[in-house]
Amino acid sequence: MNTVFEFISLVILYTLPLSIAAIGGLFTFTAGSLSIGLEGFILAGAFAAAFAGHSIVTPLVALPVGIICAVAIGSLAGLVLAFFSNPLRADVYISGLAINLLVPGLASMISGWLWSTKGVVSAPGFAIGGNSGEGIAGFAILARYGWLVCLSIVVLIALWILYSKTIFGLRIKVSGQGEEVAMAASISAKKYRTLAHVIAGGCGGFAGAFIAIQIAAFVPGMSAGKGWLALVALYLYSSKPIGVIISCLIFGFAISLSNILQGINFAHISANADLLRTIPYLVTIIVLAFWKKAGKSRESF
Amino acid sequence: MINPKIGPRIFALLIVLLCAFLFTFFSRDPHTIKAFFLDPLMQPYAFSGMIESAAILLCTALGAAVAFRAGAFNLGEEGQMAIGCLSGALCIQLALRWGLSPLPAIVLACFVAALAGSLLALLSSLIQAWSGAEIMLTSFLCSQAVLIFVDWAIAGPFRDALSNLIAMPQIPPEYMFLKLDPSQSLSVAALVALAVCILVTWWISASRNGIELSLYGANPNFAVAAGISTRISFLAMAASGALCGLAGALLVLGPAGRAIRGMTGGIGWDGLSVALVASSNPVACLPVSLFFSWIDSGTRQASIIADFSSDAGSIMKALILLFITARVIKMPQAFGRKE
Repeated sequence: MNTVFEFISLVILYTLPLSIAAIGGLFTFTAGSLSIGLEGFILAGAFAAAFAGHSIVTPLVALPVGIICAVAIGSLAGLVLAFFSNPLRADVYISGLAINLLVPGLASMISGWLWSTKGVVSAPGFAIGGNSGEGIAGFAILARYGWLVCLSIVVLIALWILYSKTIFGLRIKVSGQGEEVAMAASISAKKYRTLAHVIAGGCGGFAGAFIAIQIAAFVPGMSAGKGWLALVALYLYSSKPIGVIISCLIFGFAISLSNILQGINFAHISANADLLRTIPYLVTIIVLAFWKKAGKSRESF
Repeated sequence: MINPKIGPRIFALLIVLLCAFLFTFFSRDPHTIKAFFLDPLMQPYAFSGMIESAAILLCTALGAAVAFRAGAFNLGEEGQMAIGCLSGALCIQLALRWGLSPLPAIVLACFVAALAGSLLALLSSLIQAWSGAEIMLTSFLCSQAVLIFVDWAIAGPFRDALSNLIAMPQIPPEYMFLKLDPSQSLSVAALVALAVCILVTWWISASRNGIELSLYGANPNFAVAAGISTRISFLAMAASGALCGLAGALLVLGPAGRAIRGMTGGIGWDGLSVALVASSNPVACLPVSLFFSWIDSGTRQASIIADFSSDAGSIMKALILLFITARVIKMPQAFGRKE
C-alpha cells in the first residue's frame, strides 16, 4: 500500500515541473516561435536555485530566494533566445539547441571556478527537516514538499488564466498568426514573441528550481530530458493547456513507473535499474506515435 | 559568387576565437594561450589526436548533413553513434571467436555498425510515415533510450570483468585500424573518414539520388509533383544513421580500442553543430570538423598544462551554434543573407 502512495506522490512530483515547463513552451508555440531551449532553461533554473541554496543555509530564506533566482535566470535565458530569434533573426530551433548545449557547460565552469567541483553543487539551504528525501516513503514525500506542490498548482492556474482568459493571452495567439494579422490588430508580434520566450524561460527556471529543491543539489544532466518531454507534451496537444497537462501526466506516470520498478523485487527477480530508465522515452515514443496516428485518422473522417 | 550564408558563420567563428582568447587571457597561467592556440598544431601527439577526433566528428557531421539536406532534423546522432560503437565492438568479439582474419573482421564491424545506426535512424522515419510524428522528436527520444541501453550492455552483459574501466574487452591491435605512425594515435580511420566524405560529396552533388534528395529537402511539394518518391526521405535518414554508426565503429576500432561506457560524449551533438555551421555542405564539413576538433584539443591541452577550464570548449562550440544563423552585423551584399 505504501508503494501505491509513493507512486502517486512521485507522479505528482514529476508531473508538476513538466507541466509548468510545457505550459511555458505553449506560450512560445502559440506565439509562432517554439522554443526548444526548455531543457536548457530547466538546467539554468536548477543551477540558479542550487546556487542560492548553497549560499544561504536558512531554508526559510533559501527556498524563496532560490525560486526567484531560478525564475530570473530562466527568464534571462529566454530573453537571450528571444534576442537571437527576433532582432538578430537567428533560427529559433538552432538557437534553442545552442542554449541547451551552452547551459551545462556554463554551469560546470562556474561551479569549477567557485567551488572546484565538476558541476555538482550541494544546496544545504533546501534540506528541509534533515536530508533530501532519503528514507521517507508513501505520502510523506508529498507531505514534505506540500508547499512546493501547492505553489506549483497556483503557478499553473495563473499560467492557464494568463493564456486563456486575458487580453495578453489573446495577443500572444494573434502574434502567432503572423506579422500582418498582428499588425491589423495593432499589436507588435515581435514584442509578444519576446514576452512569450521570457515566460517560457521563467517557467523552465521554476521547473528547474522544483527539481533542485527536491534533491537539495544541482547535478549535471539532472533535467534528464524533461525539457524534451515537455516539448513532446506540447506537440501532442498544442491548442489547450489542459491537454498539455494531461500529456505531462502520462509522462509523469511513466517516469514514476520506471523509478518505482527499480525498487521492486518481484518473485526474486529485480528489474535492471539501468534498463528501466528507458521506460519514459519508450512510453513517450509510443504515445507520440499513436496520438499522431489517431489525429491522422480523425482528420481523414 | 560567395555563399550568402557564409557571413554569419565567419562572424560566429570570430566570436569564438575572441572568446577563446579571453578565456586564455584571464587564466592565471601564462602558458595557457600557447597551450590552447598552438599546442594542438605543434605537439605531434596532440596533432594526431586532433586529426583522429576530427575524422570521427566528420562522419557524424556528414550524417547530420545528409538528413538536413532532405529536410529531416535528425537529433539522434548520439544514439546512432553509440549503437555503432556497441555493434562494432560486438562484431569484433564474434570475429575473434569465429577465428575470422583481421581485414574481413574490420570491414564486417564497420558494415554492421553502419547498419545498426541506419536501422535506428530509419525507425524515426517509419514512425513519421505511419503516424506523422516529427522526426526531430522521435529521433531524439529513440537516441536517449538507446544510449541507456548501450550503457547497460557495456556495463552489464558484455563488460570485461578484468578491467577497471566500465568497458568491453580490449580489441587486439591487429583487429584495429592500422596506425599511420606507430608512435602516434593517427590511424587509417582518418583516411576512411576522408574517403567517406568524398563519397558523400559525390553522392549529394553528382548522383541522381543525391540531387533528388536535396530537391526534396528544399521543397517537398515540388519534388513530389516532379515525380520524386517520398521514399527518398527514408534513404536520407538511413544514410544519416549509417554514417553516425560508422563513426561509432571508427571510434572503437581507432583511438579507443574498445567500447567504453559513455564514450560518445557529445560527439553526435558536435556533428550536428558542424553540419549546421557547414550549411549541410559535405565539403565544408571537413574544415569545420577540424576547427571543432582544434577547439577540443586546445581545451584539453590547456587544461592539462595550464589552469584552464575543461568546459570552455563546450561553451565555445555552443556559442558558434548560437551565432551561426544570427545577423549581428549588416554584411556587404556578397556576404549578407538574401531577404
